[in-house]
Amino acid sequence: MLCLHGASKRGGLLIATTLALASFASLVAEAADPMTYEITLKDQKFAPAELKVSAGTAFIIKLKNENDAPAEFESKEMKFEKVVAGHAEIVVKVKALPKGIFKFVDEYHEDTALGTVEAE
Amino acid sequence: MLAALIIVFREVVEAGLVIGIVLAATRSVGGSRLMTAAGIAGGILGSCFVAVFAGTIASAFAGYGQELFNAAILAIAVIMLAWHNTWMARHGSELAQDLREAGEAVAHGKKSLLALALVVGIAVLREGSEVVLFLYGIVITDGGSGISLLAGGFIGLLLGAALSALTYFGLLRVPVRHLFKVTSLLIAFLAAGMAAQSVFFLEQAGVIDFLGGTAWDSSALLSEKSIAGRILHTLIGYSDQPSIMQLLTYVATLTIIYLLARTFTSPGKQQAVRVST
Repeated sequence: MLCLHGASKRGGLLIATTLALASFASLVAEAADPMTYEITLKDQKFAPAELKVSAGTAFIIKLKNENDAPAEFESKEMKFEKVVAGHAEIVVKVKALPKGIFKFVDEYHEDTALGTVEAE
Repeated sequence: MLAALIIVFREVVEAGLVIGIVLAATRSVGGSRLMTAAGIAGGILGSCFVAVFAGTIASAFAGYGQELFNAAILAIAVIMLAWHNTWMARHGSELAQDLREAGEAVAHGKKSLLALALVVGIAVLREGSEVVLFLYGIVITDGGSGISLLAGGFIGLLLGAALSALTYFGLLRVPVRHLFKVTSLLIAFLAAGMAAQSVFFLEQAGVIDFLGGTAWDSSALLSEKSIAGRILHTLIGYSDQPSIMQLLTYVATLTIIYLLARTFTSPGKQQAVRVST
């Protein structure tokens, strides 16, 4: 713990600033309801496997797993990782994306079950 | 088979590192191995439980039950780690040097051990439930042909256990008088990383909705999903695209743990340390 010496004062200041910022930011109004896109996973295929969204806006993906087996809906690039049980549905929030193509997979079958989101 | 091995190993890496560090940190506290084993067993049991109820958990809280569940258990782990470090600052030197006090320290140590057993349980639970679901998926879709996949998964588990042992024996090479400092530092970073991860889940669930901007993007340099990235993620909370809130939480956790440890360090210990170094 000794190695952290000296960082404490600055840290304390940082916490104070953070708390002040945080309480201020929470007062700022929330954004409108984001767009929801539905994707179905059947066998090892996503449908649709290619999703088009508008860049710069946050959105939601609703994933329906029609298999008996559970899956793990994951995208490293869009920063989500969520288990979905067999015959169940999950929702993931995706932050506003810059223009580009972003991959997602069922981590349990990441070589075969994949899809993309194109932000434009 | 290799794919199954890699998937399971990836999941087990985190738990393996945590177990290795906890074992080393509590080495001189009597009964620590039993407690760690209990933590592992509890974690595996909990994994099966979470796997069975995965659907229910996911659909709770308007679809964000999984994120909130993860955030909550991580927060518990952070508190337990902070508590352990504070306790160590107070009693660590007694355990290391002053045998007269050791009896009392060990009695108190039982509570601290319980905290760490809980941390081990949580680490196993988080990764374990995914392993259980993955293996379960193999069994129900591939049936008999899933045997080689299962074997791969099993080898992945063994490799994870080996990593745990490697961490433990690696840490044992640290001289005893430095061991407390080293493990305290490791635990502080472990806790900070978990706190940041907890914030990540709260952001995903939409509970935390501010300071969400990306602090930096080092994904091209070292992906968080690579094995090295995962190990660093567990050890020091490395993230290739942390949010500003995550970063601030990380710094705040480290600071609080440091201040707690310093506040509760007994004056006797500081002297003892000075004599020994």
